[in-house]
Order: sequence, then C-alpha cells, then structure tokens
Amino acid sequence: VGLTGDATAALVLRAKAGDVQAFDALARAYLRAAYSVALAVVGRAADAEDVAQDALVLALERIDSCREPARFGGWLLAIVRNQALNWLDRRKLRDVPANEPPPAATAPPTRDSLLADRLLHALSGLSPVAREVVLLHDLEGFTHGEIAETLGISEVMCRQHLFRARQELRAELGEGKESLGG
Amino acid sequence: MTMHDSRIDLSPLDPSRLEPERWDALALSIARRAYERRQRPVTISMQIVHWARPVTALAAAAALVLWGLALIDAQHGTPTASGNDAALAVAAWAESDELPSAREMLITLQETGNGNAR
Repeated sequence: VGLTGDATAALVLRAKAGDVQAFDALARAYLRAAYSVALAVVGRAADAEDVAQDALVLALERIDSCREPARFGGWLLAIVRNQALNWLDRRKLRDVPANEPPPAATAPPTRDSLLADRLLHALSGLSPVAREVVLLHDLEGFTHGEIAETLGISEVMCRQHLFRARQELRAELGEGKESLGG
Repeated sequence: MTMHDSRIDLSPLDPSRLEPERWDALALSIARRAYERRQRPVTISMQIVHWARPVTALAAAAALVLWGLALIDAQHGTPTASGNDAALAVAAWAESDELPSAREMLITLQETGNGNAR
C-alpha cells in the first residue's frame, strides 16, 4: 500500500469532501491489496480482479460511512471479503466448482503464467485465512499488525498462519525451486 | 531464521507487475466510477430502496399493534373502535415517514386498550 495511517486518513477526508484526486490515490494505493484478499477467497485471478474492482467502487462510493479514516484499509478489505464471499456463493449456485481450472487461454502460456498457475494451485490447498495472510504479507507487504487488524486475529496467530502457509506452499511447490524466491 | 521464515515470491500473481499500465488504468477507472456514482442524484428507485427497510419495520410494528388489539378484543369480547384508533395512529406514523418508538407504540396500545374498556 505504501501509505501511512495519517496519509490514508488525509486522503479519506479529502475524498469525503469530494476531491477526485483523493479517489484516484486511494484506488491506486489499495487496488492490489483488494485484489489479494479477493484472490484468497475466490481463487482465480480474473474473478479476483472483478471482485476487487466492484468492491473498491462500492467502498469509495460509500466512503462517508468509513468512520475511522486511518483504518480505511481494514474497512475496505472487510468489504472486499464480503463481496468475494457473496460472489463465491453465487458461483456455487451456478454449480461451478471453485477449483475448476480457468478456460483454456488462446495465447500460449508464458513462464509467468505457468508459475502463476502453479502458485494458485498450491494456494488452493491452504485455508482461506492462511491464503489471505500469505498473500497480504508476501505479495502486498502488509505487516503482521496490519493483517491481524484486518482479519480480527492476534499477531501471534497471524505469524503462525504465515509460517504454516509457507511450509505447505514449499512442500507443494517443491523445495529450492527458483520460483519460490526468498 | 529457518527456511520457512523467508518470504515466498508470489510476484507471478501480481497483475500490477505483469501489466502495470493496464493496472494503473484500472485503478483510475475504479476511482472515476466511484466518484461519478457518488455525484449521481438520488433516483426514485434508489429512494424506494432506501425507504424499504423503515417501511417494512413500520408495517411489522403496525401488524403487531393490530394483533395485540385483536387479542385484547377477543379476550374481552367487546368489539370497539380500537382497531380504527390504531389504524389512525399507524396512518399518522406512515404519513410522517418516521418510525414510532417503542414508547409511542405502547402508549397507542394502552390508549386503544382503554378504549376497549370504556
């Protein structure tokens, strides 16, 4: 996200006052975090992007109801999570398995897309909370404190989720692969 | 630090890294959509949706009052104008677009109940 609580609060107050630049800045700063949470719930990149977009539009449209501007991130991600869960329910109603592979792409797979598929497959084996923790920490760069606040868990629990999630991902992906980084 | 303490490279899942221009355009389009929706004047259908919950609560409260009155009438076996009184009170609440408080409902119930006793 790259914004301090104070900077976020200032942007939220400007957005509430109708400053369009503040809307731009908030959307740019929080879109990826919204995407990470959506991906943790729905499990597919394209779907996560749709959910993140809709949730961010909804949250920014209703920014007046964000009572603690410095905690905009937690408030937004709760909206994203709810939207993603609703989306998942609708997908279940349409009787499409959540872990069904996406339709075959017309373009040939790239190294990045193959790695992304492997990572998504490995992530699908984790619990939803563990997925969210590892995505927010290792992809988005959230601190344990920030993740704990948005998920309503303790920092200790957050660290445990991350430790186990990494362990399981490494086991699934295979130790020492270049894609694992570190 | 053990191996499990080090971060996993999830960057292949990062759309902002893979397609930075598209991602930036997406963020801007989200901001503009939200901004425009926020500026949009309230339509009749939005107003109806906005009123749906209080109106439903009002209807439930009215039903409760009328049910209570019917119960009292049935117990006393004295048909009175209490139903009309309650209906007038409910109509007044609906006209003012405000939900009655629990106190107001109890007073109405009591007054119409007294009407029964007279």
